[in-house]
Amino acid sequence: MGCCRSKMKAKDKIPEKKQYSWDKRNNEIDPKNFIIDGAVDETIIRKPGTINGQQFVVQNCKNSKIYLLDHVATITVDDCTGCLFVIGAVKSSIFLRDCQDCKCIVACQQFRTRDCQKVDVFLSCTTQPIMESSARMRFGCYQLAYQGLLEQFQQAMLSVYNNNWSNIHDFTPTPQSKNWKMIHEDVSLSELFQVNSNPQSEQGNGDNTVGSTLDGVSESKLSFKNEDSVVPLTRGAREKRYDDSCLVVVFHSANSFKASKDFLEAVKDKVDLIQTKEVTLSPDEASRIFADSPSMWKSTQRGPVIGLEFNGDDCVKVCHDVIAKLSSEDQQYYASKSSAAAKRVIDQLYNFCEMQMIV
Amino acid sequence: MGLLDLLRKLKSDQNKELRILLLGLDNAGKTTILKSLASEEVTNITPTQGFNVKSVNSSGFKLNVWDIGGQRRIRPYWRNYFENSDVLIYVIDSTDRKRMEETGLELEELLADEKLSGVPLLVFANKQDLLQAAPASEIAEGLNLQTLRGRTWQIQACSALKGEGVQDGLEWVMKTVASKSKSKKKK
Amino acid sequence: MRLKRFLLRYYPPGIILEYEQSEQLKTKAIDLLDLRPEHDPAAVAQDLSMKEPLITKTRIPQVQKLVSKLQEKLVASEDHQFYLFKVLRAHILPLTNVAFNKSGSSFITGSYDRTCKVWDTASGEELLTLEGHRNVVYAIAFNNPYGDKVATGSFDKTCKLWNAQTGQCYFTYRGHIAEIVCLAFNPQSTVIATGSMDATAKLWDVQSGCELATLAGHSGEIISLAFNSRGDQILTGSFDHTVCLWDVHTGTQTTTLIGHRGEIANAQFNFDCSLIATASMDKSCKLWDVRTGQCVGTLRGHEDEVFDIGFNSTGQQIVSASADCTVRIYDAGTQRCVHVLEGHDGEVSKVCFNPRGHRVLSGSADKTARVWDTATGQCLQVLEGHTDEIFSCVFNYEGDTVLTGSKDNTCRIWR
Repeated sequence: MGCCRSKMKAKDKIPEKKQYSWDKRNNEIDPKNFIIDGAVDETIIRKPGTINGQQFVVQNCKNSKIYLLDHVATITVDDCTGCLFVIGAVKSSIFLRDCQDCKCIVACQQFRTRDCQKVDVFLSCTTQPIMESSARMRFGCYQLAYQGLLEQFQQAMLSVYNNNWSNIHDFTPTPQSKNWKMIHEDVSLSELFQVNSNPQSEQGNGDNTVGSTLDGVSESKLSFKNEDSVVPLTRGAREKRYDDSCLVVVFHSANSFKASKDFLEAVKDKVDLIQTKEVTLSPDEASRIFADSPSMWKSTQRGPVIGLEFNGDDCVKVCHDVIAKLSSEDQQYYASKSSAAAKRVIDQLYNFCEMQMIV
Repeated sequence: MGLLDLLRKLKSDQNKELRILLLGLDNAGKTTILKSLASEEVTNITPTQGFNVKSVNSSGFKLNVWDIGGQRRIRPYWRNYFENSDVLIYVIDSTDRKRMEETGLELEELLADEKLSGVPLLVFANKQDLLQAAPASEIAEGLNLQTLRGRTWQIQACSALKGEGVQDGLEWVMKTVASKSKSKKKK
Repeated sequence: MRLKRFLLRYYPPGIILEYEQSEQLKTKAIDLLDLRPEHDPAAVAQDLSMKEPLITKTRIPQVQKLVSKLQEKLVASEDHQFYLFKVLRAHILPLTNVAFNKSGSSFITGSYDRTCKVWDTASGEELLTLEGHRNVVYAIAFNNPYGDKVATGSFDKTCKLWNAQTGQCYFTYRGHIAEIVCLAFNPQSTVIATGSMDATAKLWDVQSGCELATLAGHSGEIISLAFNSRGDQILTGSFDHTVCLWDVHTGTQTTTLIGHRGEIANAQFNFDCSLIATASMDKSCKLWDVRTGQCVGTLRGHEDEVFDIGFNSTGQQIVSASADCTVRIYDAGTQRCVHVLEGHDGEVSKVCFNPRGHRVLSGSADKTARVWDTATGQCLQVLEGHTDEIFSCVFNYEGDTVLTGSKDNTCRIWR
């Protein structure tokens, strides 16, 4: 009996080790191609389609300009000094560690820093950015455009309307002084990034578009201008310049993305854009937020709505006038009926969005 | 939920409830794993400023899973949660080579704490779907897990974002807990 | 007997008489629980004079003025809307409980970051940080009405007594073998009671720092405790489904309130301490006679666990909060549910009346606190802004300030 048992044991199959998708991955992609290590005084450009949603690593670089014009899974930037980064769209987190004197334009789901000093960040972040043991950090609103960037946002599952660039959580606040501040709104990106410093550039100075000397990039029409940016310029937590506010909601339709852009274009010089939100509302939430317009509740169910918060003299009238011009059977809008009502609805919409974002 | 619910998750009805601690450096993917365990969407997650706690049912047990923020500044507070933990799940970003030593040290410190002595350890080698990921075996070696004594342990490769490997890790946890309680009963 | 002076008590309405008897100063309270703004103050004063020998005929005009003053406080002045006064990035980890001192001039916050902080209400400035605990500071209290001391109970199993002005730690009370999750000063501020996950409550001496008694008898964690108004009795509510009553002087168990089929979430005395109201995870609330220990009523209606319960100042109404996302108001006399307050999108874990009793404040997992009208059951305001669930919410004594403490690490002052 015992013999039989041990015979059986020898014949027992060793269970196959489980195979996961990464075990079956094709090995043609060389991880080394997605690391920039030790660049000094260099300009490095990765054109659209050359990263294609892979992870990227940047480390030990000095006085270099790095353009990653594609969508990225996640990225860490370590031990860099005096560098400039332009990064398309990061699906999850960008983590800056031990960097100083850098400037960065990036769109991401999570923004994190640790042990950084004097970094300027033009940010589009869908959750609350955080920092730790960092100082003299400055933040501004993301302003960037190039051919294919919008599609990259979509591939990275980032909404251009969910940007929390101005409310940073500091894990190590210092009682005496703040470790971060907002970049003054008059500071221009081209100034800061000095992208036009090359004398061989075809375009003149102050134009904010990168010259043709950046090989291949001019085809992408890289631009830092407000009017070109895929992410609208928002004032965020900056002090409001006016007393009147208005919330405009663009309901979902086949063309609501364009409709929002058109609306922003139409009101551009008349009012300030404070904040935007793109969010899916449940019927209960819709009835609470739009308590004064029950006819709108159904429209909220067609898909995510885009909320645009404005601030400006007489902005309720301005918004209603523009809606009158733009709205049609296919595209509906909502605008608050008064400045006071706007404040209430804005608070509710934001609180709801915060709720959605927290685990 | 409320404070009262937190107290309820503190105590553990020995036969039916488990207290699971989810620790690891910041950006390791703990919250994504928590949401994955709870079968929730993992698409828009915000860096954890305090902690997150969820209850998950598995194999007849109620698992109270505590996901604690991992920034360096708040790691001293991990000790708040040690008492009565039944399982320690330690999450590692398999792609973060720069901080492998740091995460190893933090794990070492945890394992040396008497309040966690004997507590089974599951290490998730997370983010395996990414290009720079080191394989789980390499990570196990780097952490010297082979020399671990005084507790049962397992390392599990996973990608919380892709939803692979997390349930496998949970299966090991449930198996381990079941055999632990069996051996307790035997005594 | 010689009357020395009158004192006013607003909530619940009453007049306190301070008098001298055999060369000793004594006080006597006349409750006016049923006083309404429409009553004739002259008639009320006349009535009091007839019943109370200390109020002689010459005193009637004075008493009439006092009654008017009490009535003024009862009148709902134009509906006070709360607005967000300040957001306090109070702690680096989630808050647990918040509490005002009697005058409302300052308040305290407890946190997972192991500290308790003392704040100035008017300015929102931080006055003190009470550091020393080695784990979560969960239970906190001022020694109201004095307000010169703060007691903190922690997951580190100890309780600490602090000077509320200087932050000096007077004593660390050791003895519990598990987390402390509730505590209270007795009304005389001579004793601190702590309740713990170790299933015992302990009484500690404020002056000497010694342990006075251990109240052992529960078979489950004690998560709620309260002294009666005389300070000679204390109740403990436990996860073992029961509430016990203890004699403070002897430390002995006098009564056990048995009947709930689920964990007790909270237990409270009413104003005259003749009744106890309990909330339980068995989805019901119960009313108990203190003297006999008998259950005199079960308040049903909630469709899920009940997390909190409270009486209004006069003891005439009861409010309860439940995981079913609603708040219920019951009449304590008829035990009928008079209002179901619906509106929260998540579990409601905290609820209380304002001192005047015409408002209810509720805190929920839906990240909001709500202010309700007790007469109509309408939701008057949604206090929004927190980015994670509300763990605690309170009114100050005046009822014109609200505090909300949240898992989002902040505390908000609403005025």
